[in-house]
Amino acid sequence: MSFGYILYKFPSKDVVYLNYFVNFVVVLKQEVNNTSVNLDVIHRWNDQSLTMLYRRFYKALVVYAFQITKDLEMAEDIVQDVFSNVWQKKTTFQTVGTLKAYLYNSVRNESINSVRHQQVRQDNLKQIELHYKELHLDEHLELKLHKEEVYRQLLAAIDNLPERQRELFLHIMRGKKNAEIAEAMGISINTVKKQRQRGMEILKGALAPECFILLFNMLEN
Amino acid sequence: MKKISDLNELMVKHLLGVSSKEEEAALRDCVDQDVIQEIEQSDDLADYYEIYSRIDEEQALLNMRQRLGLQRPVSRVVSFSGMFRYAAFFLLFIIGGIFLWNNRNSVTPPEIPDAVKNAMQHSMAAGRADAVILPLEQSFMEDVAAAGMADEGQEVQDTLQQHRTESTLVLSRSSMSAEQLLSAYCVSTRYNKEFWLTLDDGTLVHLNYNTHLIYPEKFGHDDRNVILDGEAYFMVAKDKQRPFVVHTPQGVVRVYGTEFMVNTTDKQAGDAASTTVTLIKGSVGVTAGNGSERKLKPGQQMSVVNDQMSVSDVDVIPYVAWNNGTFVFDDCTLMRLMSVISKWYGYEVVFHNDKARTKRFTGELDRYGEIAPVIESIEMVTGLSIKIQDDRIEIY
Repeated sequence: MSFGYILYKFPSKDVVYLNYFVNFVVVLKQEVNNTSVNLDVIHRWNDQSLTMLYRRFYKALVVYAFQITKDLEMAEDIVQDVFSNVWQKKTTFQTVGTLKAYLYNSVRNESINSVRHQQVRQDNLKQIELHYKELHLDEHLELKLHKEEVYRQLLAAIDNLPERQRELFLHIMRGKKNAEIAEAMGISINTVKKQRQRGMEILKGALAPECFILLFNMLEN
Repeated sequence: MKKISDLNELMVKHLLGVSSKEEEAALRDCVDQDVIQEIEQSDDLADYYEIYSRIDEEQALLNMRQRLGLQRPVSRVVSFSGMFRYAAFFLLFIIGGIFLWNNRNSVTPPEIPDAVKNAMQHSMAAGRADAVILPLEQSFMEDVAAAGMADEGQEVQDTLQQHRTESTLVLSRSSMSAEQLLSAYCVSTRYNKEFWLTLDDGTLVHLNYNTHLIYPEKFGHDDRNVILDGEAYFMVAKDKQRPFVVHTPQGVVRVYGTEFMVNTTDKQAGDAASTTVTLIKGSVGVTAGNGSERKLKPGQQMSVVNDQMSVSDVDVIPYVAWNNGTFVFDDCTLMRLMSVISKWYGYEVVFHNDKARTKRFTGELDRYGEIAPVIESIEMVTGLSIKIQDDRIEIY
């Protein structure tokens, strides 16, 4: 069966699929933009500020706390407590960078504290402290390097993928070979190859440029 | 020094495992191997995602609202005292009620005539009503796999690229949302089958053979989109708020409450792909390419070939009859008639008599009967001798 035949036979279906990806990228761009933080809104300390803080930081901070504590419930409690503290203090932040640094550093310190309470071996604790460094600000009060932001965007991007595409992507991230993926998902190797290519194009188009500049900075340091 | 955008691309390719050897080398030139490894190994993105997908952000936000004693802004609206509170509440109730009532009444499923119901029963009894319904993504993947997309040569890739660009342009103007497409299905009929499908809103679609229809499990709030390749008769549910739109490779049919038939497989004007839209009842508008919309009146047929539209008056009876389970031929050549019948019954037609091809035929045939009486009646009317031998219909 030649390819030309398929094109003629199923033109509209191909169109739908492509169009779907176009839409997906648009949705994703909105997602990245919608979660931007407006400090004026935050400083009102009302319901809208809380919603903004949670949409933007909650999941990312929980994943960060989980990396240190390895306990999801504990991670969620820590992040909730940090937000509660921020709320009581009502600090005025000069830049979004200072807000981010404050949140991430608070979550880091609280997480390390709770791990300390669990009587972890001292050398392990040292390693954790070294590995999860405090975040620092440059002269413009922006975060110099921020791996967590890269992860936040990547995770949000994966979360927005259609189910099959996401399944495929997770297989890829786990380092599986094309043949293994094809078997696990019940599709042909050619489809896997094609979908990989597609997935890459999507993520490239969907992630904010800052994300990759951050990634670049991080790699340089 | 590499540009940042180049490095970005290299890193994404690397993360997705699609980079070539050269690209891997380039990445390693610019970035410390330890750093790359750190991202890959110590921080396993797939594991993080598993955690990420388990986090309930909404629940956390609710809990925090309670903990901080925050009230949703909405609740402040009803802070009147005494009578006003009740009045406001009552008014809200009425408005809500009207809204719900309107919403409930805005969708009116089509009335299905007895003739169509009979046709459905006969079709099922004859084993003609059959189709394959697959989630869109799956059906697409199977086609891609069947086509061996990745292994084709450059020429094919170019064609595909061009096709994509054109198609994306056509559909990106107004089409299903990503959400709708996540739940989209593709229904396909084979060369000798047909199918009746009731959509989410009550719209009844009668698919002819060799037809594909893509539809969402649930329509969105703003419009109802389906995508058609083949031939189908639509009995559309009335819904003033959400127009019903049929997308075809040649154009878009926008429906304003109606019955009509769309065919994307007819060949006209030297084999150029064409779409014809025949309006039975109500009102539809057709848009081809980037042109403006043209409305059709009942009994009119629009043909779209290469973005050119032409409207003609047609007899709608054959189309209605097809929907009701009969073939209707009105002054139709025997060649055309035999091509329809042979496809439907799965026979090959051999003309031994050239004059017979152009004989004209007017009549009605039951589509769910056996082929023998059908051939007999054609013999009688035309006076020709027709024999069925194995899988061939021989006309002398």
